[in-house]
Amino acid sequence: MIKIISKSLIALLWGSLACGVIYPLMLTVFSQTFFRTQANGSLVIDAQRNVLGSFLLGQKFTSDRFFSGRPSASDYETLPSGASNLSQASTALREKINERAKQYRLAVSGTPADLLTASGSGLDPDISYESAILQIPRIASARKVPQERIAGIVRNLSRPQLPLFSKPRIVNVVMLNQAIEGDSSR
Amino acid sequence: MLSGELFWICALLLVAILLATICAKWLVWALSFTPKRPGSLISRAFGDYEPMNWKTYLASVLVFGFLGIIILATILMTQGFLPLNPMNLPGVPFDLALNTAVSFVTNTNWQAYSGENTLSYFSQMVGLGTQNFLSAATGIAVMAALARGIANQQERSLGNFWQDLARLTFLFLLPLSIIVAVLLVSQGVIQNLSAYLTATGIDRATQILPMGPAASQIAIKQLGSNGGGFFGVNSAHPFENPTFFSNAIQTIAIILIPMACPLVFGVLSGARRHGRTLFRVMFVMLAVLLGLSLVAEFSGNPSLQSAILEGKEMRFGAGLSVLWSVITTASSNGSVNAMISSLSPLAGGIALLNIMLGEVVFGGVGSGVYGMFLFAVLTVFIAGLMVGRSPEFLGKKIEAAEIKLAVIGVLIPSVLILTFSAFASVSKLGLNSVSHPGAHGLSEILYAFSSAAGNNGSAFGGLNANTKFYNYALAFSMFVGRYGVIAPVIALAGLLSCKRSVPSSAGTFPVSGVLFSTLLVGVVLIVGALTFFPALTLGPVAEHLMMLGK
Repeated sequence: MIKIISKSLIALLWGSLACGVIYPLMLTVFSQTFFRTQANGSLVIDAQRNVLGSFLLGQKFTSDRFFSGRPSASDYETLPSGASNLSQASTALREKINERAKQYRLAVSGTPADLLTASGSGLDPDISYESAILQIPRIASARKVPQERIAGIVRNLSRPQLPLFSKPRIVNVVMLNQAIEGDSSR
Repeated sequence: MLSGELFWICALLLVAILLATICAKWLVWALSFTPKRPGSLISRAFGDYEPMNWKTYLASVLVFGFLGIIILATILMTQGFLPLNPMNLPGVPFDLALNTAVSFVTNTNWQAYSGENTLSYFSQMVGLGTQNFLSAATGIAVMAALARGIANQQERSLGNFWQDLARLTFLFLLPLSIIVAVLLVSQGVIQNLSAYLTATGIDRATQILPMGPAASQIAIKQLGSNGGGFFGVNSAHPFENPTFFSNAIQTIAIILIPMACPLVFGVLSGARRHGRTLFRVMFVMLAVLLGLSLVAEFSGNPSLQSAILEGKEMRFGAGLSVLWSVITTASSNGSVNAMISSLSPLAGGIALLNIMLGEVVFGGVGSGVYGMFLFAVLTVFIAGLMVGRSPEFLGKKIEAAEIKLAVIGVLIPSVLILTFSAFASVSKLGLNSVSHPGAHGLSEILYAFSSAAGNNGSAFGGLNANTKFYNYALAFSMFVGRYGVIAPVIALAGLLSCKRSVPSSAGTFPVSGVLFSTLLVGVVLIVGALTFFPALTLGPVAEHLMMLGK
């Protein structure tokens, strides 16, 4: 018995050293050398070296000058972020969906589903191409630029949801808003 | 459904099968690795071990697990005094630390907390990361011991647990994890030791950006059918799973080793055909369950079609989210890329059923095969009863003692799930944590105990599981659900090991081929369905019918 206990402790010791210390630290050094940007969170940094966010994490956009992202159950909080976990059959979700459609002054069936539903992470950075198109008039009038100009940026930044299939398309809202902000300030 | 989603679902499964056959060869090599030159460092690490009989093997697994729990719980409770804690997070309370420690040591990886606001980098790396490897290696080791027991002729040795642990960790899991982790970092999964950043926001909405060594953790979380996320929302979090490709890599990583295991089992037990038969049975069951789940999800709520994207991420879409939900529950992994609570009631029900079937539709690394082995023993027993012949399994006579052990192993998870769920659904302690009333609420409770007893670890969401009652009750379920199956399996291996093979005759029931496969599926479904059908009817099925009635 004592032999088994001492063997267990030895195995836990080498296990912790190899798997818990050396492996993650070596990988950190490797990543910081070869994938610096990715390993540090794909940050959005402005000309004054301020961190504005991450291209991977959705953030809160309230002004009319920016595209809105998907609804977030945790309101784009990160510590922790979260989902609604509402059942598709629940009344609570039905009410939320009706309420969100009203914001866009559209019927539920006529609004892209991603703008009516909260994401799984609460930090989804993407919206559907249709959801971006829908918001162009609002942003163009707030920024006093032609709609065509904004539509061009949306088109450029949109990407297929699944590789090899051109439709449906999605667009990263953080990248999009960063791009139109840069375009306007030029 | 879109053709693109169907294409990628099939493509990912095909790639997974291909890579699994390669991994199976690698795993067989690792499990039989014996160094040639005595005295060298390699020889000391992998060679000089005494053979163990089943009692010593089992005692080693149990003591190793028990000490692992104590050490992990201690790390979690004292993280405030330990290094690599840039956010100065305090120690974890006892009930949560115990639950988490049991959870990671039993390869369940149920999480009653969110990593980003609870755990230091030290706890994540040295605490959880270590057990991600060791618990996975333990599962595969037990499967290897069982296979050796079947192959043996009147011997007592099942191999050496410490040797298996070293071989699996250093020759297989670590190198494979490094490959996957590097691929993930290239996609944008974070890997650093920085303090959290404060971002000012493009629209001036301040946001704290959590940081940490995530990629190293996520590689083994998927490969080892662990499933415990670095962040609370698991692989739905963009820092854990940022792109289509990171999602594809993780999807394959979830099912890779579970798919390789039946093939490895076949080779090590000297019954390749039986191994391939197990693989086919598991794959057919997986494909059927996946098909049903896709139909259920894309039919959705007919009066509220928009609801399909609730709890899902745009970069994955509905199809790949359903694929993930099926393989993660079928393979005892438990990570999620979309919230299972917000799947349509029947798709959520299939996730639940996958766990209730005993985690044998590929199941966890190692554990899926030894779980399925128990069902296979029952199958040859039932087939033997039908023709009035004493049953044999791969040449070994199956007698009363073997059947008793198999029944114990099959029943323990079911008893845990039903007893605790029944108690929780009528007591204040259980009901206070439920977020939906009625049928969905029952699903939340059932899912939690199924996930724990089946060592899956996925969560239905909605249930507030970080209470004293759930932390202790789920920790108990995880512990007994793991070791209550491992113990009879190793004992069975010991009994079979001591027997001599009887040559097969015309009357022997073959354990490969269509007849055996059909009976095996029948036994798995009958045990799962008869045990859980009433509960499933009151949960997901009732919710589905009520939804259609609206």
